[in-house]
Amino acid sequence: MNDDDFNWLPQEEEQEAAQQSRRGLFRFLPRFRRGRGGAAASAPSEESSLSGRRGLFRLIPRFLRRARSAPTEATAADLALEMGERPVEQLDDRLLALRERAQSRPEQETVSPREALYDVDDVLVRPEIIHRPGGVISPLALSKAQQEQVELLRDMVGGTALPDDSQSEGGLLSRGKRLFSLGAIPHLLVSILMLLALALPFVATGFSEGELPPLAFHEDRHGTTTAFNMLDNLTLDDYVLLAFEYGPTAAGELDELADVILRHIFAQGSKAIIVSSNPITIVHARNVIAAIERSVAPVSTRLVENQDYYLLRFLSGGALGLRDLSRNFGSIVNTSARGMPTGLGFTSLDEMTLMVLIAERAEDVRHWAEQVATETDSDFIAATGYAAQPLAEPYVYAHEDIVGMFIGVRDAYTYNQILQANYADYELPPRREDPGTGDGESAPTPSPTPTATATATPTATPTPTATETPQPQATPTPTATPTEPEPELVQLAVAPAATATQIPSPVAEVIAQGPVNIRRRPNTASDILALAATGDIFPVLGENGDGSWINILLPDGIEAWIASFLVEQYIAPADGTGGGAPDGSARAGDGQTVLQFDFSLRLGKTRPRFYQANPPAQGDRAEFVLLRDGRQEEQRLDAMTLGTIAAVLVIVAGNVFYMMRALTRRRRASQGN
Amino acid sequence: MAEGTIALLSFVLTLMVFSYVLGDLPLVGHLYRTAVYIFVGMSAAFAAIVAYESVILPYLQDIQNPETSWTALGNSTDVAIFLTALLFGLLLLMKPIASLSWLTNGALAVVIVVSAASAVVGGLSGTLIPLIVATAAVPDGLATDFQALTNTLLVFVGTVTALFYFQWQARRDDDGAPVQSPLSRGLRNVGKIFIVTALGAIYATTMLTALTILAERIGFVFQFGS
Repeated sequence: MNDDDFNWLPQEEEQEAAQQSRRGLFRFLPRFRRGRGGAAASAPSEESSLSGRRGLFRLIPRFLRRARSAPTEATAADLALEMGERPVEQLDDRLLALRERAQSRPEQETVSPREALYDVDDVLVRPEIIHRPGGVISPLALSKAQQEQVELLRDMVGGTALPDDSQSEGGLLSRGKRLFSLGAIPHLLVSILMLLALALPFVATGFSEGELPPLAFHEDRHGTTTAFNMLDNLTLDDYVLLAFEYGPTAAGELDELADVILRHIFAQGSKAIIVSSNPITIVHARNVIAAIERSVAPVSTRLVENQDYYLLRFLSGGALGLRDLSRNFGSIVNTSARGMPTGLGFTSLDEMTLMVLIAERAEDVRHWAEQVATETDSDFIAATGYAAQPLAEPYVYAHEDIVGMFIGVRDAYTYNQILQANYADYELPPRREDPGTGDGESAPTPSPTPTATATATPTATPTPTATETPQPQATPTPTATPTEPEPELVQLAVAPAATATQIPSPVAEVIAQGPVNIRRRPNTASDILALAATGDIFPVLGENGDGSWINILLPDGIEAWIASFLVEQYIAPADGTGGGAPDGSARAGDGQTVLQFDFSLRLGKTRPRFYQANPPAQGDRAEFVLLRDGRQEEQRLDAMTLGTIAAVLVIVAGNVFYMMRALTRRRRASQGN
Repeated sequence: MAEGTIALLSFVLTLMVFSYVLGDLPLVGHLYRTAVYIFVGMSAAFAAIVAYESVILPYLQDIQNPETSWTALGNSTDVAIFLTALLFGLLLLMKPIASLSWLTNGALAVVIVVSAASAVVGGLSGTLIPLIVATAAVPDGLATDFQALTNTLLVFVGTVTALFYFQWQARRDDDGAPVQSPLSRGLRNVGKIFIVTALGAIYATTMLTALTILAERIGFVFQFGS
């Protein structure tokens, strides 16, 4: 044991330090100094050195003090050396056999790392290490250890030695030489080709390759329609927790989704509570809302923070912050991003009607699924970009609470098309004279007949629900008052007795305790189209192979499925005594009897809307949907298609080029041999 | 700032970023770097401002005027939690001071342990168990729905073989060389196909995201120009 390694202060300094310890911050300083006093520093005995300690140090158990006083360089190997070797005779049989086996093996030669990885040259491409001079900031600086690792790696992959800094090229002249480097030409050509492909749809017509996204979400998409319907089912009283987990770097992709979802929420008068674990994202969310405000400014009242939407303080700590959100929602929801009270009195995440996550990375989806979705009963919707889709989608399939997912700009396009079709019958309020001063004094006058012309539903209606159906009549309440009328929940008119056909037909009556799910397909993984209450009766169209699901007809003409154990089937009397479709018409198909459908059903909390592509209700702020600037949407989609084609061409051409070059080199090498 | 000025700045910054296409050339290369520095610097500044406004400021205001408290300082328990967090925060701030950095270790240990515990609990309840259940779930109508049957089989085979790819157990032959059975090699190769396919899909979707963002920026440039 070397005394030089013993780090305690000599007695004199010890006493001096003890004197100083009575004053100020010195008391917090550790009592030991490494190497202080150099080799001349003598080690006091352990007990004597510790006996002089005061304060909290005395509270440390003796065995810990002894352990602490041990030299820091002592290792297990040192201890093993001190133990000495055991005589061979004392070894048991197993160790003796092992020893003999080891001695019988030929002694292995020491090999270099490169020899150990003898085939690494065949696997790894030798990287060309370019030593570039610095630009605005200083060049890359490596520590000595890092340089050694680089040299080792270079040696393993067969690279050349790193040139000295003195020999490295630098300055404008050498960089200017690279301007004419032939090696840069392919890179430049590829970049120009990609930019050209992406720019063409914006500057010229006729480059519309491929198809635009569909006007409705494909029914095979897991939960996407359900997710849209949940957002479409929001009411004035609903609060949506909107998690913005993307920043400016993903804005080009996810802003579209955020835009349509926010507009949908605002249009229905629901409130968005925006939260994020990234402070930059809070700022970006404010920008997205500001853009929406600008678009509707000519006709609409402004959105008011802490009234129409809430920006909560950012959640520090990553996943821990999300856990905090799920457990202490009441305290977090009280503080806005500006550090002011929000006035929200929620205590639990379960009070949220819906939660929507717009995330840039699959990692964010995972964090929210792990730390938040498992802690609440509220329904959860995810929206991501294409890059996060493969790793985020399993959570949508696996989690019961995550009902669906929107992906990228294509889904944003489809989403917007559905909204535009649903709100097509609205007439925008007159344009305000001074859009910058209105805070409600020039509120839009509601469209006098928002749904009276529902029969003129455009043919492009993506969802089959609103088409052909005379919309539920909401009594128009045109008002001359300048203030915005208090939006009212529209009670969908339910005809007490619809026109019934004279043909008896089988019906299914819900006997289970409702609400029960009505699905698009005969399996529980399929989208939920509607909810039915106990006693609801539907015309039966058939059943699946094993009779476990009943094919029924919803009042708006949609075919759907309900589990057979939830209903009782019987033949309805010919004079059908049930109710009717919400529009009061018998639209259950030819020869079918429409009996009853209770439209107090709802998926969410309060709104008696039919749970499928709701027609907008009076009081909805249609301008948020209708005044969306989508001028470049289709050009962008075309540009994406052309860019994808160009990227594939570049990849294929590059591979062919390198393959041809390799074959040529191999042939030359064989000829040389 | 006027909207037009913001748009002009955005336009200029976008062109500066696009200059990266030309490579790391004199002057041109610095345009890209400058744009990135501006972005990083402003992000850091915004983060600091938001952190101060939304986390620190509310507590300072509450301390100054407890009657208007709206943060977690509503009762004594919350105050105790707040003070504990404050103490831990102060201890973490000791890290840069060499002679006091040892004070940070305890607080840091708590942070790490709690983070690990949350990650484990969340990982189990939010990822592992749901994914296992979803993988093992047999959808309704499996016998009659060919698509469901195909999907289920693909998920099952893909999961099992991909997991098998990462097992390296083998017996040794007489020369000591590791030898795997033909079945193991076959399963590993199938798993390798699934893994490569998954990685390819991730790469493709990442490229699609890049194209989407690039198209949006190019569209913005033309929109501004027009």
